[in-house]
Amino acid sequence: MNQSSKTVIEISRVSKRFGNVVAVDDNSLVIHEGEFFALLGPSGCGKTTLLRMLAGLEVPTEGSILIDGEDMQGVPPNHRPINMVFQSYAVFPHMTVFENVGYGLKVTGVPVPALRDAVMTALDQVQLGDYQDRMPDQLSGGQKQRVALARALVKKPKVLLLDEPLSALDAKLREAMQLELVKLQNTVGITFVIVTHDQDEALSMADRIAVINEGRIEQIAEPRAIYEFPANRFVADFIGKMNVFDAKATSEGDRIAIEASDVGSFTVSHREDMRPDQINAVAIRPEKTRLTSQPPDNSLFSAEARIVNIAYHGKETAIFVEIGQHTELACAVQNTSRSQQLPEIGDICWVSWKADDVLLLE
Amino acid sequence: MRYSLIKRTQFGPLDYIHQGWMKLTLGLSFVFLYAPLLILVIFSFNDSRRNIVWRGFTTKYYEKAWNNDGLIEAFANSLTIAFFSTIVSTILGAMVALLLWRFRFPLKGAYEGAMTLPIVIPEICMGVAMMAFFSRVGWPSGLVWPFNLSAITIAHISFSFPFVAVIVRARLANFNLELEEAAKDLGASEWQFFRDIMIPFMKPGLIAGALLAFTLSLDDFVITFFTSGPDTVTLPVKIYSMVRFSVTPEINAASTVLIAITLLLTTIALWLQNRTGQKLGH
Amino acid sequence: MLGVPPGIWLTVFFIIPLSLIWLFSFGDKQGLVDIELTWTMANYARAMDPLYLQIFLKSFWFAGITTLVCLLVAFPIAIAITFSPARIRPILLLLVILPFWTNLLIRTYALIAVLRTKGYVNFGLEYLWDGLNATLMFFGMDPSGLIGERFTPAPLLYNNFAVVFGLVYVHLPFMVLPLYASLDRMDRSYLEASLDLGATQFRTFLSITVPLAMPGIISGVIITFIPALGSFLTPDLLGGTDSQMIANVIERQFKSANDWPFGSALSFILMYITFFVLAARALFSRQGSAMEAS
Repeated sequence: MNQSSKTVIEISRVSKRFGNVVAVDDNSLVIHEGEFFALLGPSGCGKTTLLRMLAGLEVPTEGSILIDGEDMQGVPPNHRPINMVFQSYAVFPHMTVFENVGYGLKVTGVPVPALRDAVMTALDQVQLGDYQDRMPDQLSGGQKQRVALARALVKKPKVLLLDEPLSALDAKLREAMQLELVKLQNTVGITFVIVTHDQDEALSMADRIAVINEGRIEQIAEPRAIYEFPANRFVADFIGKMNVFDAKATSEGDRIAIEASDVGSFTVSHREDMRPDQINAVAIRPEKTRLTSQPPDNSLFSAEARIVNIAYHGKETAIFVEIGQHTELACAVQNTSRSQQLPEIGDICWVSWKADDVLLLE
Repeated sequence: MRYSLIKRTQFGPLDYIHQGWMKLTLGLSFVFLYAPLLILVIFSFNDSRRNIVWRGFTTKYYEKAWNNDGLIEAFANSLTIAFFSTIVSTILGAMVALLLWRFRFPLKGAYEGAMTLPIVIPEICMGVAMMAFFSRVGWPSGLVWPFNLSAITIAHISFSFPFVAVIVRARLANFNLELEEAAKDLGASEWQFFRDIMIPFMKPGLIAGALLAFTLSLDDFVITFFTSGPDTVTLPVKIYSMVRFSVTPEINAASTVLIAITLLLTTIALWLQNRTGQKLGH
Repeated sequence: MLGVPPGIWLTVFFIIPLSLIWLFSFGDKQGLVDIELTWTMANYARAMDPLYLQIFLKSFWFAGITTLVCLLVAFPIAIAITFSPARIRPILLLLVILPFWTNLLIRTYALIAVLRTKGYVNFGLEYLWDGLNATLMFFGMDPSGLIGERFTPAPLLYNNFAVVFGLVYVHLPFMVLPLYASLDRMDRSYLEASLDLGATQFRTFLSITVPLAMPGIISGVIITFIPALGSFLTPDLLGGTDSQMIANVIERQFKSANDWPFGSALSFILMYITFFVLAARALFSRQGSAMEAS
């Protein structure tokens, strides 16, 4: 990671309304130089609008955006030190690869020899050195994306914006491109801001993630923190799978006692940021549970359960169990061996977890 | 500061319509397109023959136009021609559309090309060709009304039905071919399929085509000009002869009526299109 | 079966009439009404007479200027409509299309009332003149030396200007619609990408918008140019004696001059020009699509 603590983008209290629709609602955010930052959220949550406001393609209704310390209000996109890779790539269909990549330099009056060198360097960076004379319709989706990347990188922007860059690629290529983008970012040292609805993408590539829902930033944190310590119910639910139960909490010395109907009661460590009376639910991730045929030892919380459904996924198996009458719970069992025995529907078993793996939710 | 020289804008880069010069262009264009017509309509109600200064509201020129037998006769002729032309054009156009949509046959390209000829050739050429044709084949003239209008009606059908074909075919292009398979699978015969599935599906296209044929016929001047005789004058031809003579409020009144009819028909067509569009959930 | 009735109709009431004047165009006028088919080229040769050649050139000139003016006016209109909010876009489109549905004759007639010597434009100009006159008097200046003794109406009708003005008025919607269609189809992220890469709005228009809208531009140019070239009514009603277009000559041959063979030859020359333009366009678009496909 080559990030410093120097701020490159500062978004303060930015809102964007289209008529009565609030696309971005009073968001503040700081992005550091050299960072790989992801805006993650379901489609229509306003993350693309936020990105487009950075590029100058949309004008904020309220709030300010500072890039490199300069207020960007009213600055048109062609004067911003920022470049973008569009979701559709927007590779100009009537220009060759070379002309596409050189376009941003040509329109700002870069002399031909310098332009040629810069374009060839950028094309080499994205491994398209031999494609300079191709027309865009002779390129695959992945190659078009590389052209779009090179075209933006050749401008040496302060920040590179990527709008759902991998969504049009097939699964295999997407995974390869994820690694490549991270590598590229490390090489060029430019701040990347990526918009994605794919949590795997965000978790695997980004240094930090902002989870956005209905125009509001729900949490800004590093990928591990987002997954293991989601700030609220939306983040917990949106990232990965989660079993959520209604629960009541009370103080019990230096710990918190949880009473979850049907599931049972247990105590967890005290949390600074949450009073017991704020807690209305608890949650546990499927892979943090264990299923055993015998009750486990007392260090774990456990409850008796009946297996109601089994879904085989190859590397793991999702096993759905019922605790009591009404509470269903998903457990993930890693298929670590070919000879692994799986339970059957109707079996009675014990489901258990470490009490501190439980999330407390408002 | 680097950015101090930049002209800052309060709108997005593609919100061209909010820019002053764009508003001005758009506004001036609409003034250009509408002012003459609006003036024409407004001054048809003006109580002055000089027709330049507003002298008060009157409908006397409409009464005058109404009492002008030649004008009324021309109007009746126009409506009669448009009525018959619309019926025949819609049927012929629908046949062409169905044929070109559904079947492959030798020389299809030539057939299709020939059908677009009346749309692309200059009106004046078609007009003089029709004039020469009807005079050379000795088409009977001086028949009783409405048969004296047959030559004009035929000419109108010739240039209208290819337009109907284009519109109906555009509608057919959206037809889901699985509907036919489903109908046949459920036991419909070819004829039942046509009656129960195709005709209802084509209906909006047929109506739009018919309205277009009606407007084309009602509005045509050039081709009618060459096929009409002294006793077969249509409204546009009558207005033309009046315009050549002078600019009078009476012509304004007659023109306003014609504009109103076309506007009404266009509104109906658009409304129907909208309604079927909404029904289909588009 | 389905194709037979329309086929017969088209043959009898369209192809045969056209063939008839095609034959006439090689005929020789005998007396008042008789035409003898002599396969003479004299009618076509006569069309090359400087008098008629000049009228052809004038027609091209009028149609060309009309197309150019329409293109220049229609482009901003089409851009404004394309990028207007979805709520008002249908209304703007309707406003462009409506005149299109209004009778050509009536629209031309409406222009006469606006442009004639005692028309609204001159009325407005006179009003301005009077105002200016009074202002100059007020400041103690003698207006006669500056703006003339008396108001002289601008000659706006019955000349070449009126014809081109009328042709633009009539054909503007023809140009706006194909331009709008091609701009609307265009992915606007191309424009955004261009701006994002540092190009100015004007540069983006020249380098991205125009090339990508080229099919629409060509369509618009053709469907404006062809009907403008064959215009009869506009030069007939708005033009002066020296602003005749080819259609007016054709009309005269078939009506007052009663020289059908010559009129037929002129008609076919006009049709050949039309077909040539359409064929060139078809060839161009095939080349374009071939380039895209390769």
